[in-house]
Amino acid sequence: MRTLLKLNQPDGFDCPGCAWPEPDHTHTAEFCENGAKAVAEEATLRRVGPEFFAEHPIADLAERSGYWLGQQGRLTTPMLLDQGATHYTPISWDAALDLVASELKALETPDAAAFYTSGRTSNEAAFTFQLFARQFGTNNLPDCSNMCHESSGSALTETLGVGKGSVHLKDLYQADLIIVAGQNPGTNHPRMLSALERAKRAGARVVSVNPLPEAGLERFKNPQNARGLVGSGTKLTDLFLQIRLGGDLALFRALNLLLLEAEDKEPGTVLDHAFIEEHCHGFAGFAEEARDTDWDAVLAATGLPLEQIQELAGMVLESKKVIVCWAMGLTQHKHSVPTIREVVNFLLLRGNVGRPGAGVCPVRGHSNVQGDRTMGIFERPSTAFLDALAAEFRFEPPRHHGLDVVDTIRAMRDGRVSVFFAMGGNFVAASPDTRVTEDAMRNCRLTVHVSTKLNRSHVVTGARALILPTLGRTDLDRRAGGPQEVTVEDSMGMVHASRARSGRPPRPAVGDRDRLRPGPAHPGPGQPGAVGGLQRRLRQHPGPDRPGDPRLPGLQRQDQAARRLRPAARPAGQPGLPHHHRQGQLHRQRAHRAGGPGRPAAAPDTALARPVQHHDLRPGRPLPGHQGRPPGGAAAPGGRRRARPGRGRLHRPGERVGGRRGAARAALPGGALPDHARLRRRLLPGDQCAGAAGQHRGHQQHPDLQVGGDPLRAGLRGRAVEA
Amino acid sequence: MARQAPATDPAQDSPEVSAPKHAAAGIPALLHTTRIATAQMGTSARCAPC
Repeated sequence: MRTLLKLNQPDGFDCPGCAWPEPDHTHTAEFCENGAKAVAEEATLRRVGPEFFAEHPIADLAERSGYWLGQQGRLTTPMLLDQGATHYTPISWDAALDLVASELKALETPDAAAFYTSGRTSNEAAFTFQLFARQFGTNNLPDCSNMCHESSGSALTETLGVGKGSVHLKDLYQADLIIVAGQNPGTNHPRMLSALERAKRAGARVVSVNPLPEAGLERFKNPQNARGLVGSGTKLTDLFLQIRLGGDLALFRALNLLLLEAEDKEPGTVLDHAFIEEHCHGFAGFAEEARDTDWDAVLAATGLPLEQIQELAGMVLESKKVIVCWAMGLTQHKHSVPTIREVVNFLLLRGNVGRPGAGVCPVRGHSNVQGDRTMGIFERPSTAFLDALAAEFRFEPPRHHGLDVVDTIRAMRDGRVSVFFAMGGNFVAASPDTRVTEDAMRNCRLTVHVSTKLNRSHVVTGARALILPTLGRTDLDRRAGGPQEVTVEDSMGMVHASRARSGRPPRPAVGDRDRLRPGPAHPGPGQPGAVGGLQRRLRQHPGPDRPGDPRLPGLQRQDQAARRLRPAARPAGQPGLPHHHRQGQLHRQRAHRAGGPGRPAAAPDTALARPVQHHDLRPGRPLPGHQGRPPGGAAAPGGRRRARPGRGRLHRPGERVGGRRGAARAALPGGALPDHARLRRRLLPGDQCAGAAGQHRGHQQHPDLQVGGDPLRAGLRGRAVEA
Repeated sequence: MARQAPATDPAQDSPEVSAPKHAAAGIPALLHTTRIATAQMGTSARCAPC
């Protein structure tokens, strides 16, 4: 309990559960059920040492679920699975790092290695890790951002200039209207419900847009107060729009049309013309195109009755300050980038960006996924970032782009990447296709995981595999200079320290300590330490030098740079992210689901299955209310593939599956959204329109997505194109 | 003391299905949190000195 009471406190440690920010004045117990689970799994007293691995051969572990593996406890000892071996065996730190160094040095090219980063990695570890990879000579830095908010980053960078949200927690309390689209905060960021409750008390209205209703968004019983414990709680959602999958683009387009029509009726009262004039461009073209919106197509794409869309538009017109929050429900579609652009356009029309109580709020899941990207964990770094890196650390970083998650999997599968090094995470279970990813992992020569606990990625390995135990947020990292701390960045761009004041780091059993103790090349536990130790071993190891090696000034410079990364205390009264008006532009695109290579276009009456992401449904956790398996019962390994429904469970369009509250079922789409060539990116600024349709800055669109009649290349995974 | 790690996998092939809930958190969340925390972290204050 003492550990939990330090969670999310100003002098405590940051919750590894999610990236929702902490309020200025925290409760005594500033955590949610999910956070407590995440901390309990990390601060567990259970230990997984060499004796555990001696008892369980790799074949046995591979049959276990991710939940069972994670529940065994914290890793204490570096472990090696040698080629052809049946068991992991202990290995000293020096020998482990030497093995990694020798494998890296033996590669024909640095691009034959990939360095994956989990969103729990601290800023310091992430910065050191990307620096190591680039000094080694590659930008192969896939990370979990590739699988979640990549589309948010692409769309927001293009429209607002920065790939992050524009609001602070206080803005939620000042908003008149909060639209929560494609997000289940009650299950994935439960502390957001407290913020929504406070916003409701301050007078805000909440609209939730989701294919499924969520209990937490309906009514929240806040355990922090008596009303939540013994009363009926707080009703959060004022209007629930049960939208069809992927219909958000059409919804926000329709809202924009309704705003324009309202402006026509009462000129000068709806749109913020001064804001548009000063900060946006392309308005005339945008308005012209918006007025061409086909309502039949909108209703078909959204599955919503016209009355509900009009009701939402009415709420928008009554609200001076509007915030739109979203998560994976918007970001994991092939047309996610256009959708989020449309959200930005919706806010820009009434000047709802750059002032208190209004703005964009992409809600991140992993606790430091945004910070890792800030630190340079990105396979497509900007030239400015690389220039700065080169100037500061006196080496020439690789300029060609690296591999994201999907391309890394492909490269491993095809033999182009043979060393996979993961700084935390559970790559096998996190990536979208478990079977393909597992096959790719098995094709590697060496897989390395810096981890706190066992997971599926440790038991689906390359020819050789290493597990390097590390510290977690809850572990006190005591060094000669005193207790250490790390920094993390929350979902709203606030960077703060995470200090573990207690917690016993896992250590090898007493008999193993002499044999396995960290050697001179390893400065001690912790993710930055592992990278530092590896860097030293790499430099000492015989073999061809990589481009950055000869001029590498050593870790001291890295350490100095990492210290400078620490944020200075903010002056009182200043918000974390500026509320200055930012340059933005209005643009819109239309998208429809179209066929691609080997994939026919979806029939108009096709029912769509929806993957549900829930903390309790993640591969490492059991279903709620699970019962213990009776002795002798077979256990199936975890994986993304397990949650898919059988064909017999799918319902035909028009068949009533679940209760739709307050709305009649709208007709399913009768065809694709209309397509107009003139919609194609005509509203983008000149520097982004210069190339062909597929060469706009920052990303490629999925080839299945048709925009304006031309197959653009953009979307979820965003990949830069050489201009 | 923390409870021992589970010896077997949970039976995930037979989840309980019930009527949808219309409110979240409250006392059940507190009880569940306490159960999970004590099962893995224990109840004693076994912390390294600061």
